[in-house]
Amino acid sequence: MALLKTSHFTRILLSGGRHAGFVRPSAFNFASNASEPHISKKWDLVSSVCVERNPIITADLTDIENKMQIFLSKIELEQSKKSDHELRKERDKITVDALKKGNASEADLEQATKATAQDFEDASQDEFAKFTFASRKNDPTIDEDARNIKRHLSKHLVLLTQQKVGSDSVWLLPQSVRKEGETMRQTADRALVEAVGENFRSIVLGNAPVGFYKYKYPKDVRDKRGVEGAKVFFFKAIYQEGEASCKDFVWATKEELGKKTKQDYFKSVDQFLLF
Amino acid sequence: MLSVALARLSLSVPKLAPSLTTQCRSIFIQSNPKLFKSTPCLMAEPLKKKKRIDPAVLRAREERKKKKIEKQIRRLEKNSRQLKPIDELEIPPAVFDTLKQRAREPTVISHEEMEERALLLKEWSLYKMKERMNDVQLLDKMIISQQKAMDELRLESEELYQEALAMDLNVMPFTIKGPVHTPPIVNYDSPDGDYTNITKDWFQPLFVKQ
Repeated sequence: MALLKTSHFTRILLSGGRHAGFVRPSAFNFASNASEPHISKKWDLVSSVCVERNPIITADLTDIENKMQIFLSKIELEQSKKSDHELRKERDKITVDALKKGNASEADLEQATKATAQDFEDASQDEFAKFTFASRKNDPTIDEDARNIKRHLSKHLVLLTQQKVGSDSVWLLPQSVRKEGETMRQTADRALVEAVGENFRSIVLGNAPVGFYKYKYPKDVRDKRGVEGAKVFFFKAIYQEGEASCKDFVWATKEELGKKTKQDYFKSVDQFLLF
Repeated sequence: MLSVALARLSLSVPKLAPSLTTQCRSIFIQSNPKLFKSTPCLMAEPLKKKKRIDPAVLRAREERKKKKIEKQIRRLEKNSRQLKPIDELEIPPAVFDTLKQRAREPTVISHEEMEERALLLKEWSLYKMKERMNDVQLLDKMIISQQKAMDELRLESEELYQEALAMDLNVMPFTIKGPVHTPPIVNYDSPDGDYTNITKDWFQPLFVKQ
């Protein structure tokens, strides 16, 4: 199941915006002089980056998946042939029986003194038992620490930062208003650096935005600046390595994202989340 | 009768005529009238009799030639398309020889077990179908979301839209790791060992450098 999801994930990566053919130009006629950038004065253009930390471990199997796995391994055993090791074990057993009866030949005796298949098996089991795998379950304190990159190993996490919008601060994906002469992608790159610093490495997937959100400014701001509101274009990125250097950030699961952000904002973000 | 008639006729023709008449006379009674004389062709070789070959044999011969060429072409093509053998997929001869010894005792499956298995398979296919439907819906949702963003961007600025359409070559080549079954162990000291590469070198026989 995890495999299936990753394959879909890569499909999205491969098609997501980086190929021009993926995005169908819309049907309406566009009356604009292409040689001269025509930016509507009415709206602020904002680029926002959704940085995801992909799951580190696979998700736990569901009930039916567990049952199916047991069933498949049973079938596999039934249809398989005996391995070299199993054959050797059988031969060992015959020799041991012969020894017990006392009618063993010299060759058999010689073989009995050698290491048996069972010995080999035991040694392997011992070696395996000595090795301890890292636990699939995190310490609960790690899971609760919202800034820990290793929290909730099997879940997708999204980077949220606290930002000032007007007078109050809200949790948002890192975003920044476009400056003159920038493409949306350049704004997105800048927004990320402004929010989490230079040490934080991630891959932004393509030049095309994956999501859209629009909000209106309060009336006094509208009147003062003559700007209707902001159009937010979301870009998707995958976390690579490094630490965020800002104060107010969290790695949120989808549920936390829903709780921390406004409902309609979350609805727009949810449209392009793969989990 | 006729010669008598001709002889009679000759009485009335002038002196020169008799020879003609005598010659004409024998035209009907001799097979070789003396007027035509031929020399036997002595110096020439008798012409070879053209061998007539059975058309079926001819066809067969042609066919054989064609087959031979076709076989050569086939052999060449086979060589050119020969892929690297995958050792893991080929049963080793030693195993192949002992297949009988390796046979497992057939497992007896009770009626209840069979029933259970069939039910599980049904349940499983239903589960997978739902999963698949969810995935498709998820993808659709994402595609629609992106299309909407692109449309809105185009409304704002054609130039920015074109920039967004441009390919981002920095992403390629793209690699991604995981997810894995257990998380990586921090500061894990992996056991020492020699690394021996036992991969065989395979090459295409057609492209051997001389």
